[in-house]
Amino acid sequence: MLSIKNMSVVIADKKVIDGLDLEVKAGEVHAIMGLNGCGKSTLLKAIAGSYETSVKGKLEFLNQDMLELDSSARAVLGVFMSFQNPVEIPGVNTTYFLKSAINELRLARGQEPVISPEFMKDLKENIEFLGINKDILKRAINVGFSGGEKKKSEILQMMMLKPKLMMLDEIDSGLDIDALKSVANGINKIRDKDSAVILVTHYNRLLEYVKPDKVHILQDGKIIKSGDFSLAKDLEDKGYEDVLK
Amino acid sequence: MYSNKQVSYYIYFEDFKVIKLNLPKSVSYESSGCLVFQENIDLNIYIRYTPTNASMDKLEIVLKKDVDVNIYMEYTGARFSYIINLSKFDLYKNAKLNISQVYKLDSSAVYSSSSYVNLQEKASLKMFKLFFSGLQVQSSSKVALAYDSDINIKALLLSKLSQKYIFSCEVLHNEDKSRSRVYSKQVLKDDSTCVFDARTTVQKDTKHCEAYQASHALVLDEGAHIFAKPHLEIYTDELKASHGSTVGELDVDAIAYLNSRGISEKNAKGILVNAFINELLDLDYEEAKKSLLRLLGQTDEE
Amino acid sequence: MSSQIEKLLDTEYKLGFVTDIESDQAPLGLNEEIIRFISEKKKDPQWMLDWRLKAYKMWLKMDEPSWAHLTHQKIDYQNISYYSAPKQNIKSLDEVDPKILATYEKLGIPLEEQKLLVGIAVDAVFDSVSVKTTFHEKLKELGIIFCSISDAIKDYPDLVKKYLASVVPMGDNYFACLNAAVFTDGTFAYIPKGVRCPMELSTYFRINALNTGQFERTLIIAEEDSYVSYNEGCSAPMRDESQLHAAVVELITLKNAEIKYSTIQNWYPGDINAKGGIYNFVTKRGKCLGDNSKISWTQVETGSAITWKYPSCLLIGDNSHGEFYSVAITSLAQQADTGSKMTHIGKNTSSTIISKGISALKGSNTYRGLVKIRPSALNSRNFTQCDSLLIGNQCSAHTYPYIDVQNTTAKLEHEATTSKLSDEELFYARSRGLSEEQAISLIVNGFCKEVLNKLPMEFAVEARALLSLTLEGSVG
Repeated sequence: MLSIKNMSVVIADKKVIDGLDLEVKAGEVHAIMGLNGCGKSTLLKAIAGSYETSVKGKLEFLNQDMLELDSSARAVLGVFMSFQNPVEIPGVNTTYFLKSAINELRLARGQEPVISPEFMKDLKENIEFLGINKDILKRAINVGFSGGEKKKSEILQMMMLKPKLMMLDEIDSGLDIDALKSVANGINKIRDKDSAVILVTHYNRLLEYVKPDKVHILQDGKIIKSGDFSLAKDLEDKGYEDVLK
Repeated sequence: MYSNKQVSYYIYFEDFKVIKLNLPKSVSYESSGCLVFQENIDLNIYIRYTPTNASMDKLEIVLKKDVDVNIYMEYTGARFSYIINLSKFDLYKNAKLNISQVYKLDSSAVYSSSSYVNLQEKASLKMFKLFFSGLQVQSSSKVALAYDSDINIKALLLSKLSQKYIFSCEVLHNEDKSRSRVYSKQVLKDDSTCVFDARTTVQKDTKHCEAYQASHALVLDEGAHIFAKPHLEIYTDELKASHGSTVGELDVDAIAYLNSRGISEKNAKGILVNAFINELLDLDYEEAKKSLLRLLGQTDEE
Repeated sequence: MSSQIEKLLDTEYKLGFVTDIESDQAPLGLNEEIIRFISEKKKDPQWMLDWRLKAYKMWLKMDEPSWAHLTHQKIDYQNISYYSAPKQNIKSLDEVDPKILATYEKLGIPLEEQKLLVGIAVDAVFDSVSVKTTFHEKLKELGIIFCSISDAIKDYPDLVKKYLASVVPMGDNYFACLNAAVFTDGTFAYIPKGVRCPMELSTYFRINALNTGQFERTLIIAEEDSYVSYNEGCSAPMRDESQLHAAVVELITLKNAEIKYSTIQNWYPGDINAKGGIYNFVTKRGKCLGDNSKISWTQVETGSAITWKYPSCLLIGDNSHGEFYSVAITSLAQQADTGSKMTHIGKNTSSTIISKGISALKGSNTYRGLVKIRPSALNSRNFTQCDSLLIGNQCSAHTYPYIDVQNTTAKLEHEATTSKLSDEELFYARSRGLSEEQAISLIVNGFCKEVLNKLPMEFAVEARALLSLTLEGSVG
């Protein structure tokens, strides 16, 4: 469903991704690992169409050329990225924001706007599922949220929007084990044979709950080694240097 | 603005003459332009001005002791006219006035209004001003505060094309424990100009006054011009005073975040402008807020 | 508490003493003849005399500005002597009048020792003529020109002609125009391309002769990729008549250049009844002409009866940056109307204004600032913070910011607070064992810290000492 060939990405005048290839099929879970600054976040931003990135090469999603689409058009197609540091937007109510986003998706797909009671029911279920305090719905997006609340709020948005490609940028950082479990449960709940997940992480603990089909090691803007879950375990046991020998 | 159900009391002016009037007995209106409130009025009073010719007139609103009134004022029409309006608000001890003034003028109108506000002991005035139509609108208020009185002025200036809006407000803290809040937001489009001109003076030998001023501008187009003068004059040390002022464009990261959730660029900007305005529209009466939002073409969900 | 402060404030002006030297003085009044007299004394070339006369004619048609939040006796411009100079011609340090040297010593700047101890080149201006300059040799090696403006007019006429009045035009304002007509001396500095001036350049000004106005003119040019830090310090002896001071300072930075300009102003403030004291009307402006250039103004204003001063920056080059850091203390019956003007013209220009005003006794302190963003100044930024501290209920503090934006990509923030020196704070500090004086000094120092930290090291020591002196005599 996602096909990347010889992609290079420039961010803040620096070439961060250089000649990267990646194929992700529906139903798969991919984990991307690597040292800080190797380009993991940039890769996700490029796929999501961040204004910060300038991309060259081939980037296709569901057989569509993504480079011609802006980030909202990509989101409508089903691309979702959770932000490592979610943006705080004062004054914009979280519930209202979610409803607007869902209606944009439905509009693009030729569907009627969502009906409020159904939307609220769905929202409440997901909130309970993730163990989020109801108050955040009344608050402005991410404003005054704790680190954990922000991450859960990203997953909540993902569960509501039901994307086809879920890209999660260090969703596990700063979470305690209970929060990590509920985040993992959220991911597992909505993924199916038609959707794919890309996880960017430093640790294996998330991968214990969301089992990756493929693990990639990113270095100097390229994928230099791919393997299955055992690669991630090797990394944890031996460290990058030994694995890359 | 209000449906008939909500507004049973009104006074309509055309060319500053009363053309329609329905006021409770306790309210007297003199032809010299003086409206005197003797008792509390539970319902909103609706005042509408529709000048058609270049003209000048005045209105005086007096609230007697302990009287509590809500007023909604609308300035409409004034096609190709230059209008000067003088108004005076006199609040006796403990009186409470909640007033919204909306400039819903013809796009060719030039309007200049000067208000003199006098608050006696423990009186309180809440004022909301909305500028969004008329070629050039200037509103100046001069406020004098007595012991423990309180004024809260909020102004929302939404300018476009070559409109020029000037909001100026001068507050004088004459006695102890008086409080003032002057808060304005401006959203500028096209080649429009907005001026925020506030001066708050805390007089000598007063104690425990509180003065606050803030102005925030959102500039959406190249040609727009914002001029802010948040001035404070302090002649005593027993007080709390501060002001803040910002000018900026929409936050690109916030737009990008909304985009990444599938919201188009145009809608994302709309949402953010709405959020910017909404904070100020946090009015006491829900109805006024809803009508205002409808007026502005904004959705009023949540 | 207030009686204690008043007692502290009553302390006599520490730097108030008069040096008795024969002056070569112009008669009172201003007319064409006087300007010719000054010009002759200064041995001006013809073009300079013509320039002065042109300014004088312009000045006659101008009016004294009245918009500032200041009240003072009308200045009688015909009751001022526009020229005064020590009679002696000094060729070496040994020839300097011992009385002058003693004066400097009282100010804590022993000229002879400076060379050895501080490593600062000092161009000391006593009244209107440069008495002594040091370190010329060292600076010359680097190609740095650091001399009096009158020498520069004679020795580097091309540079002076090119840049004089290029930042502050002759008719910019009433006082600048007066200065253009009658300026007697001042400092000239030229930093050539690629040179980082290795030492702080300094000048100490001192008003001395009776009824003499001081009309200094300073011009500093930093060529591409150069850097200079310039310190200006002032102090005046006690005097009953009000004295007029109308200086002009012009700074120019070319591509990648940086000028740091620091001032300590401690002219005689007059007494509690507004008797005496210096009227200080100064025009200071810098022009960031080149891309990535930077101008930084830092000022500590503790003296003068009247201060009228707005060190400003014209940010013309792309990515250029302007800064203004100010501490202004008004005590007794002092009045200050000071602030900054940042005009953004180039792309990505940024500016910072931090102003701290302290008012005590009958002092009146006004911040007046303009931040202007022209349509061409894409992505420009400004941050302004102006805080006022009031001590006692007879003083006043005013903030008059003007924000003028003609551009969508600009981002501006302005913050201001007004607070009093609270009894709680004092009590807290005193309960930890500090004396009232120490407590006040501590709080005031904390209030100004952001600005004091911006001063060059050598200067910061003096600033703190002066602050303590003023504050020992006023708030700490």
